[in-house]
Amino acid sequence: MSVETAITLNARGIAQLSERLGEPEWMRAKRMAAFEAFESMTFPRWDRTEIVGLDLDDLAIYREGGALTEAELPEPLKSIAEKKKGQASLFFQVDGAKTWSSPLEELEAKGVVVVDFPTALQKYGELVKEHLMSSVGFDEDKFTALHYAAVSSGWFIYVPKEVVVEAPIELRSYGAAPGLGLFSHVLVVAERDAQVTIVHGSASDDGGAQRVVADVVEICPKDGAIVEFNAVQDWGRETFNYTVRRSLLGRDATVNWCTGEFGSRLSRSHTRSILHGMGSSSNYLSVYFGDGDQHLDVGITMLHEGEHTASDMVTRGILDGSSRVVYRGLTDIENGARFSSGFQSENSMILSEEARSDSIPGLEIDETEVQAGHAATTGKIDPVHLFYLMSRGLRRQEAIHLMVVGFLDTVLQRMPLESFRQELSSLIDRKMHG
Amino acid sequence: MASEIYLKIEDLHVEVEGNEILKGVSLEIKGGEVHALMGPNGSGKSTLAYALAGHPRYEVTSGRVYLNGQDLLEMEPDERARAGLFLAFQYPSEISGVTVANFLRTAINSRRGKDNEISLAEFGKKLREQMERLEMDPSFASRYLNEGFSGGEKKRSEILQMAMLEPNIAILDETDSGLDIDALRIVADGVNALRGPNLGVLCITHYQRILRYLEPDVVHILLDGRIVQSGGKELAEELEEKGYDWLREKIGAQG
Ligand SMILES: Nc1ncnc2c1ncn2[C@@H]1O[C@H](COP(=O)(O)OP(=O)(O)O)[C@@H](O)[C@H]1O
Ligand SMILES: [Mg+2]
Repeated sequence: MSVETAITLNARGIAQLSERLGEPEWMRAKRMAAFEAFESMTFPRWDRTEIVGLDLDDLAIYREGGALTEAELPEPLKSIAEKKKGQASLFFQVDGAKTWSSPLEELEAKGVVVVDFPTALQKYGELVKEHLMSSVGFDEDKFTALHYAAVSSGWFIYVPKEVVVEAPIELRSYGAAPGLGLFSHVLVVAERDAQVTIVHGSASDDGGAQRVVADVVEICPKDGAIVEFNAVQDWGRETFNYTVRRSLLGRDATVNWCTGEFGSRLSRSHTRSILHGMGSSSNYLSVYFGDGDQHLDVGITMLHEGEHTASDMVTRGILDGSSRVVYRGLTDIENGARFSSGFQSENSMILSEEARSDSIPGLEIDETEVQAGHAATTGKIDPVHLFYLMSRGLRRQEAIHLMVVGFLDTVLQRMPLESFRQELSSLIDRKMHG
Repeated sequence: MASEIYLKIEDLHVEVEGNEILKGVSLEIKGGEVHALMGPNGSGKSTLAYALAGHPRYEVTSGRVYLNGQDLLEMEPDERARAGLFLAFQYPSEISGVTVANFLRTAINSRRGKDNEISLAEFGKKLREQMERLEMDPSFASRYLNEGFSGGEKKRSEILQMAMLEPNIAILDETDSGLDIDALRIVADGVNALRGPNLGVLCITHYQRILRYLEPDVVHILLDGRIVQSGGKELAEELEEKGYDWLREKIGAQG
């Protein structure tokens, strides 16, 4: 089935998709409502991030899939499978509907569910219904509406209470068909005192055609649950990426985000922890690397609602070429969130004359008994440092490479999952080699 | 035949931000020799060191410098280093996130070139040996380069780099200052261990202290951007005894 015969973005297409996925009636209703919202809404007007050259007419949103063998995986996924088999539970999706996974029996034996999103709608309908849209609504803006109207891939992860999943669960979404839009939903439910580490990797080979991505991640950690969520995007350079990640935390729950932003032409990737439960906490560690004419809009919000909640965000990024990065960090401590603390720091390093970094750290505090602070810097390579390194024989480019890696390393070192750190390191190296 | 290792400086003039700091310095150092360069604060010692290493803020307005037959001033700072020049900085930079070991391996490999990289085993062995000689704790290798190092640790780190990179001409810019007597001995022993026909040393110093360990072949005195006197190691002793004022008077009397 070629893209031409794929399901496209219109009322008939959405109904067709719902039918094809065999989803429950409640989902069909939500989907149709989302599509209506999508049609009635205009494009959002974001400060400093302009949506240019985005064409949603006749957008291909779904292609038939099925199970892939390991040999049929695209090269990047194949090498991940080879490297990580036995060390992680792997579940890959190519063009949304083509899937491959490593054996998941061990997880199933513990009652852990790892299934693709359409399967979850069929088999775990009630659980999905209870948690879907619990933190990201369908009518927040045109793109969340698009997401819920067109969603056909992604995963549902369910960890029963007190179950600790040791090995990471790796979810990988890869776009191979040129022009095919990707709309995946990652829904994670961690019951009371459960623990799980997830890697969510997104990448594509765009083949010169525009790709539209509208992804939503919702993480629901119940009381005392701990979720480590590692996300890396290396979308192709024709991709418009819209990603919202959100978590609504229960009492004493923890969500730690580690993210790497590398790919896409235009990316808006916003993460939010809603520290609702008393004693809940969230860390966010992030690196980004913009080059060429990329525009990356990275946002992170820590919303403190409960007492004794704690958050910390640390971001470091590199800008090269004529790239532009807009970083928005917001620590928002609501009235009633007494004895809470929220900190953030953001440092960027600019390697070229044309690149531009807009850093907008924010602190909104509506409570007195709190601790909070932020710091942001934007700098260039220090010429004295460069001279020092070159005086040891390093070529200019080698010296800059070393300083860039060193600059980001202070964040990478804090990321707990070694394989994830290595993945980000090799993406940084690839960017440095142009 | 004489050693092919040499640094030859001819009538070097250097400006910093439009001010002439070096006003015609000439000097020749051969492999196997140790030269001391002494002079009061502000006389231009570091300026000479930086200009030789190719610091972008130090502008050579006239003169020539040759390193083993190559025109040094034509080269970029990294090319000078790969040609065999080394400068132990008076104030080394702190490079966050870059470990000493990773940095040194990168520096060695950029000199050795592609497909000739030093093996991890050989590198590790060499690094351990040199660190032991300088009485450095093994944990040093995994610390970020100079970050949070004490003054003494920075100086040792510079000599460690020199030992690992095996230059032909090493300029030590006040490597002795700020060191207690034990550290001074360790650093001086470290330099002495590297001496040989393939290494010439220019030891810039304020005091005669380190020269007791290094035993220079020649001592030069720099005053206001000019070498006003050169002599044997007894010149350093005389200077220490009588002070720079004595020298100024003496020069003044001559001039
Ligand atoms: N980077 C610089 N910017 C401005 N002036 C400088 C700089 N470096 C050196 N100078 C000036 O050049 C002169 C010589 O300095 P320097 O070479 O550091 O002397 P020394 O190392 O002998 O103490 C001094 O007058 C100093 O103020
Ligand atoms: Mg000096």
